Amino acid sequence: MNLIFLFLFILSVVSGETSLEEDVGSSRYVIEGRVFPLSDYQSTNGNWQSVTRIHVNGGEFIGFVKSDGSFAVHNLPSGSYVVEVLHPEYTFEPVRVEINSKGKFRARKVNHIQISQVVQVPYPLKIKALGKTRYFQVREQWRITDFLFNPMIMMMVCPLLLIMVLPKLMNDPETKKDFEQIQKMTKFEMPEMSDVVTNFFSSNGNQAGIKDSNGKDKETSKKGQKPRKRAPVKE
Amino acid sequence: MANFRSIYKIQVFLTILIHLTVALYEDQVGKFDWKRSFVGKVKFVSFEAKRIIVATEENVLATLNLNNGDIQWRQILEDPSNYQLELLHVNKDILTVSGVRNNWLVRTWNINTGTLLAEWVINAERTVPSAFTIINGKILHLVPITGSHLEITTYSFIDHENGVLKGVTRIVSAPWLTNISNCVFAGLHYVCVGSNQLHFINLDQENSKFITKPLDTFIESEAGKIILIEYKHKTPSFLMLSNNIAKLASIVDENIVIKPFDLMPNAVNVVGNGKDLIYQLEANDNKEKLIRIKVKDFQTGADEFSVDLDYPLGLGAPIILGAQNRGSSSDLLLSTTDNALLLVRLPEAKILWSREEALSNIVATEFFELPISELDASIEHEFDNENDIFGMFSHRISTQINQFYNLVFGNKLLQNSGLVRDEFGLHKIIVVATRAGKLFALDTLSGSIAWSYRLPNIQPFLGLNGQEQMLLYVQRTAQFAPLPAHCILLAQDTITGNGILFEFDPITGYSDKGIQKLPYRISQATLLLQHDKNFLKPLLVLSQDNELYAYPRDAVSVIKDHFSTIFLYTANSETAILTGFTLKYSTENQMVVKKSWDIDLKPSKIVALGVKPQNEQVHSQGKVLYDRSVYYKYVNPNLLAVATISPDPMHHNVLSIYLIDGVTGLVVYGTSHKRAKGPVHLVHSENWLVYSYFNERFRRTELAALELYEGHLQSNSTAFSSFAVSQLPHIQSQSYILPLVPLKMAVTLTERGITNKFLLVAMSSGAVLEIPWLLLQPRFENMPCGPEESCIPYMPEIPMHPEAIINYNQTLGRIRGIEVAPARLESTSHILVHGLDIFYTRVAPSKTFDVLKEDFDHKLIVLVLSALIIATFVTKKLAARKALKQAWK
Repeated sequence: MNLIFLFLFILSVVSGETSLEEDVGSSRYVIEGRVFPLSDYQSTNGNWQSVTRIHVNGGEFIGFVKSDGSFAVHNLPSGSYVVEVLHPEYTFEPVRVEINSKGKFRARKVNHIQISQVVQVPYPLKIKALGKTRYFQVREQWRITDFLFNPMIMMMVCPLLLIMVLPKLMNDPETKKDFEQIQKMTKFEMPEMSDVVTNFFSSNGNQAGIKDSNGKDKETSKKGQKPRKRAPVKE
Repeated sequence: MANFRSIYKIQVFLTILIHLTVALYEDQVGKFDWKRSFVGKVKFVSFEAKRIIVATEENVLATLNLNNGDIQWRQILEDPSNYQLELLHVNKDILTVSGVRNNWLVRTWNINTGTLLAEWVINAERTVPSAFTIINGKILHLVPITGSHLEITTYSFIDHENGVLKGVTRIVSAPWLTNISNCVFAGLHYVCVGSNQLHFINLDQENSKFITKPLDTFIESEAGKIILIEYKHKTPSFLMLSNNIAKLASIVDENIVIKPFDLMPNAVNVVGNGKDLIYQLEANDNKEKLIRIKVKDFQTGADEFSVDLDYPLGLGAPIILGAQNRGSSSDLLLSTTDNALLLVRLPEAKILWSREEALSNIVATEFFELPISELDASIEHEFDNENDIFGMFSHRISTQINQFYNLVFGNKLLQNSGLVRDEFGLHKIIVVATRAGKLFALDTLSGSIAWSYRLPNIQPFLGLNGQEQMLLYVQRTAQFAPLPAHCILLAQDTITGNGILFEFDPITGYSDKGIQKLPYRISQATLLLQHDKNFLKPLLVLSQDNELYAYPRDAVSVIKDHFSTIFLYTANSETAILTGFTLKYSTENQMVVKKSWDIDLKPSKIVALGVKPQNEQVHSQGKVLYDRSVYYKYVNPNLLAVATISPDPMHHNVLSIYLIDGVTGLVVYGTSHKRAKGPVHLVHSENWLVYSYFNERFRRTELAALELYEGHLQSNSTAFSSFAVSQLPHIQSQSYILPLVPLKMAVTLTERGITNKFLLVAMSSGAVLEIPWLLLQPRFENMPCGPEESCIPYMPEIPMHPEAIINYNQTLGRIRGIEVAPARLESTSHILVHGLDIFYTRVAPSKTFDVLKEDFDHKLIVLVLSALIIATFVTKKLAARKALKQAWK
């Protein structure tokens, strides 16, 4: 722990020195490098160089990219700089370039958290696009599978299939018989259902209708009860 | 275990983040946002076939389309406060020289794409104002040494080492030389005017010397000072201006020939169709067409033709920047005193396009709600004639029928008049004041200019760190129909420095009083909360002599009861003294400003000041802790945040942050950061403060968040009083690494403050990032952090998601400010980012929870419902038939 502190202290002293020299040093240096965009982009947009900018220390010094992708940022006193490549469509990784008072260059990855960690990168800089910047969320698209696997749709479609399609598929006479029985049962159930619906809708219709339906109701209920009683006997 | 915990943390973080990031969908591009791009006030111009190449005072190089004025490409060079463009030369490629004092950058650009071709550096020894020109493919740098000589350095592009151009210097004796502003280039010659003498030198010749001619041989009257103006012509010519009359002079065989005719100072030369013509602008007597373009022959000065220009009202006086002849027609590029750019096509004198370049530098912004539509307003008139019951009844019925009609068939009224309030307050008017002294009203829906108003001879105030700003105050909003909205602009007179007050209706731009010149310098102004009888909020203006003035003037009677509760403060950036004032001793006849406190921050320098937005609402009074007790927020509306930087022998610079109560002057909190430097950006809202600074020790930008709490007991739940201090607030703080360079910071603002807050950070890269406040909120110690507590585990480095960039790939040049205003929808706030570009968008930090999503399928819902209804009726019929059949069985 102490070691780290010591190191940090040394680092701070060193950086202090460099910053002092920033004011004193009169010689100016040039940061040079080259930008490599993704190959697909290079071919589709021939004019990528003019929209690419090089910012050193957040725009304190500015560089522009030539048509071959190379760039040079002039007039820099010795010090520590963060070089960023800015492009509206592509993301590039920033690089920290340190120029000491003797004019020696050292480039390394920017690591804001562990400043003591040095991962050197070659100088003159070679900056490659990390990838296309994704500014937008992808909207969920309407797909037929999503629609079909919707629980409501499943609830509707599955019974329908069972009732309508299955009997036609089955040719085996025994199962057919069984099925007919089941159908009979459902047949007797069905009027009840429809009556309920008609009841519901005709209730706000005329009185006669209600009476009629009431009458039917009784009949159907009787009919409905009979087969039920019969069924267990048969079994 | 540790591994597992980190995975858990990441997972928790991700689940929260999914809810936090509110990104755009690609199909939403341009739906509610717009961007306008500008180049700034044009300094140099060059016509090139179908395009115009401009170099501006904003240090921008751009090409404009000749036919519509659109920007074809634009390169933003260094910051104009340091660097200035000195030369623009177009010859197959574009060459620019830009720089500061003794360091210049020479760049050549591809004319079609704007790609850099080459870049060189010129380092000079002298740091005096100097001039550049280009002759025979070589750059000439002319440095005047006052009273002694002129240094001419020739740089050729072949001779350079590591990008630094090497020059050959020669010295030309010029003992009369005082200032380079007395000199102009005339072709290959350089002409200077001294006292009663004219000096010129041929720059093309080696070892040439200044040739001196006495002035009185060509100009009889020595009444005024003679100013030289550049005049581009194939024979070396220039204009000599005295008493506002210009004479054209040419250098012919080491002699000066003066043309016998008079010209205007803005004359330009156009060669075309074998003719050599002079174009100039003159004032016209015709009230309809104020400007007349006059064309003269170069040799004789005879009038070729003149045409009256249908000059738009509201623009300042124009000058000709450049001209070109294109066969039968010729184009004139005009620049006005309010930085507008106009292209006039002759001979019909039609204005092809105009660009309001004043908008490239905005110094004040205010959002205004629009008035209600005429129809809605007519309902208010129902009780105008109260006696007539039938009239009232018919009035109500007719308006309601109209409303119903509008509901069904769409609002025709709204489409016609345009500027009408909408349901959610999303349609607003943005009034901006520009540095050039022109007011604009921008429509938030389209970005078009609703009206503009030019105020001559005004300039912005100089704030902290040289930031220029004017002040806009909303005295009355549009909700008091039929009274119009009322707004006040405060600025400075360019000549006297006294205050300028301009009252206007922000919706129409109408001002009944015009510009009012105040007899004092303004030091502070504040808007009070009480209305007078006309629903105007009184504006108090404090002069530099500590005299107080109220606008409207009779407002004193309204505020007389509140004198004891009105306090003012001033911050002097030069003396670093903060001063508080009270109005306690005022009477109805005389307002007395008494100093109640002052804080001397010397030798520190005040670098930033943060006040809370006046219209901010704090919805929740406290934070619920993990034990389900409430920790009350310290919401002091009078709290100021002050950042100072002081030099320190040990730690270079020390940044100090103070939270000061503006009423009592009590320093509520103070903290400091060693080895920190600016720029410091403060965002002050609710009970928290966020500030950014550059940490010199670790060479990174850091962001610190402070949060103030009263504790478990709330001192006063109804109204806050600065005088009732029982105990100082508890401070929570935490700092973060910001992996970018911020230019400006702001916070979102919503109507009721229920919605989460987002921090908006304008980056040097030209993007505006939104950071949820939840990510920055200081974490409580000993408190579990997780989604249950709506807490995100601490991360030292703030993640930068490209999805959180609100202006997506629309990079903004040189951002100077972010303005935020609430919409009537609680979820939404309006954002205007200005700088070299203007970008408007709406953000919804908690997503638009109060409106249906825009992709909500109304058609499908209607379709399904109607299908269901039809189906029920059909089944009813079928069922009835079946029942009938069953009955017959």
